Amino acid sequence: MSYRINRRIIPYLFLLPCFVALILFSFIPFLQGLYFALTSYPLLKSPEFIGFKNFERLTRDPLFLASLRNTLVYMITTVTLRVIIGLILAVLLNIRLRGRILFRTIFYLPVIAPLVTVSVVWRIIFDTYSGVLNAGLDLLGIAPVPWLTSTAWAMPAIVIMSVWKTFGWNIVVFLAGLQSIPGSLQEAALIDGASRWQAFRHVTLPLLRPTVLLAVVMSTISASQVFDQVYVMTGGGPGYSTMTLGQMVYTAGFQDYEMGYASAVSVVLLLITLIFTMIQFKGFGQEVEY
Amino acid sequence: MRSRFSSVSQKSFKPVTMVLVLALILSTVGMSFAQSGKGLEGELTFYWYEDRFAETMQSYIAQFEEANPGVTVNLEILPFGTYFERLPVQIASGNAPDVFFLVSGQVQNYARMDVLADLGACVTPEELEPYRSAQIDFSTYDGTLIALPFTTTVLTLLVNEDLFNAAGIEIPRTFEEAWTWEEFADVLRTLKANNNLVSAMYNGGRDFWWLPWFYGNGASLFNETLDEPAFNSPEALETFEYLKALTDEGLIAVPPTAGASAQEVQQLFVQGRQAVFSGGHWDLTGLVDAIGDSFVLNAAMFPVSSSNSLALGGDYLVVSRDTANPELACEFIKFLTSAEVTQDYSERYYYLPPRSDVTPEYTEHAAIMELVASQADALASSQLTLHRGLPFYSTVNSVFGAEYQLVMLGEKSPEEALEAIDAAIAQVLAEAE
Repeated sequence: MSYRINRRIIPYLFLLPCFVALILFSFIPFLQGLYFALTSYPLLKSPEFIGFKNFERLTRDPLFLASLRNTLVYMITTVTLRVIIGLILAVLLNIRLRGRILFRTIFYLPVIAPLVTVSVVWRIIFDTYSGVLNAGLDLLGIAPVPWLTSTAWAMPAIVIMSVWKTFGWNIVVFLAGLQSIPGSLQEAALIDGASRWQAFRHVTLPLLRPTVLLAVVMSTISASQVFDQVYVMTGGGPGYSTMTLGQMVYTAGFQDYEMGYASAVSVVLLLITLIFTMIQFKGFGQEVEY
Repeated sequence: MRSRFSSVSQKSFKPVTMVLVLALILSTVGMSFAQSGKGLEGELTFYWYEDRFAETMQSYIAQFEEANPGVTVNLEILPFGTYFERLPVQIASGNAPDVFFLVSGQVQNYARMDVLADLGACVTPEELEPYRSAQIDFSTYDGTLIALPFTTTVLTLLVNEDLFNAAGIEIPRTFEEAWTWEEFADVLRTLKANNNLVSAMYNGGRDFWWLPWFYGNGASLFNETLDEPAFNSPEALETFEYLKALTDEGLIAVPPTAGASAQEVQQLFVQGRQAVFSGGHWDLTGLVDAIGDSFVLNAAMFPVSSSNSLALGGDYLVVSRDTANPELACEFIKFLTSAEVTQDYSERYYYLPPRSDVTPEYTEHAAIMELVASQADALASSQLTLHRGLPFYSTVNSVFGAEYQLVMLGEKSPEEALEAIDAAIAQVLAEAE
């Protein structure tokens, strides 16, 4: 075999195991999921093709509509908070301050903690009568908040926990973006008489757009898949107040054993994530391409 | 007048009968040997739940293996929390255990999915006689026996005796002494006021604790022929309003989060900040460990209204339809549900036996278990027990649980919740058809 042919083939040979794994564990299950969405599939029986009946059923299922609304609320609030808090803290940690490496480590620690463990700990923190959060509020003279046992507070509680768990990742991404922007550009703006805020607003932020796009898209994708913290902290309740599409997939699939219906919910979840991602690319896209 | 045939018959009757009897004896003996040789050899996989039961289960398996050399039973313990996620995946992937446990609400559901073996061939009607009839109904699907009851459970009102004494309230121990609903509300009011409690009662976290109030008041999820919803009724409305009023008054704690652990939900009771804990006798050991010497634990008879109220729950043993050793598997669950094993298991873990020929002698908490047993006899509702066992019940239960929470939290009116529950039942029944 000639050197030229070797050069062409060998990279593909290295990529082959990865492709095989992708096909086996992502592509085929994805296609199967699409097919199952068109079937009636009690987990322990064979799937039976029923066309779009599962999707028709979704349109009149109050649980699905509640889950859809909750998922959108969760996605919008957590992504917004993750990005804003991540950006602010990244800017602060980008300044040469004493102890900033320690702070970076502390802020990143929740990211590497196991989500289920963290969820259990937060469930205890949020306990109405013995949680540390209400104990703190009590010291301030504020009445106990039924964090996880009221429909008004359960979703905010999950959002708080989720933002705490993930904003460290956004800090790292924004820090990398900030450090890739040449300092000379900001210095030039300051010399030209711009204030620090103006330099940040008109120089740093526009140059940070590709990083913001990455952070927003990745945060959106991860937020759309929310499951563990809901499962552990509230189980989708009280009522349906924290039922998300991810939790509904689990309930339909592993409690009601309706795999076809669960797959249809998954397909909707995929479409929502795709639509959000496309909107985000559209919104940031033109200015990113430079 | 005798026929020729009859005279010939009479002549040859004795030797023919002797030959037939001999042949029958030989064939029976031969068959039983063949059966024991064929049926009681081989290997079984057995799924049970929770590590705390592992040692006991292993000891039963050792007894069975000792009595049947050539038999190996491999016990696999799964955590209860993930049991009903892993089990169907194992079955769907063709790796079903030969024998496994199902909780009461899942027996009919698994039977509907056609994964359970017919036990009719190896369990005789006589062998079923000692069981509670409601539990045998539960173990039967389309006229086929598909499970054997292993334990019986009923809701238990556990109480802090010290708080009752401090409030000067007698604890009802018999059906005759049971509180009416009005009396019960007054009792909770007095307990809360006299002991400065956070809330007087914790009322369980799901249907097993909530539905008895409704069924006890004459409400029912389904009509008699099980083909229409029947929950949207004056009886159910009255029950919702009663429980909601107690919750609003702070007498019953708001329903806990579905994710809360047993330790979390029993925390206030264990700390002496709640007087009544609507729990289960099967949790006695853990609860007593948590309470320590803080107060005296006792149990009260469930308040009565117009109808029998309590569902009979429990653990059931089933054989997989795909097992390679159906006879051995069936013999194994017959051994596990034998009077001896049932007696031992009930005494160790504070369960009620599903068999009438077993009388456990509980070494501790005997008074509580005596009340639990008499409560099961006096207040068990075969109707609720049956309804909780219907194949499509889990879907109805999800909606009922969520709507119940919403009513107790004041997010929905009882009328709206009843309409929603009935609509969900109607949809489930339509899909089941």
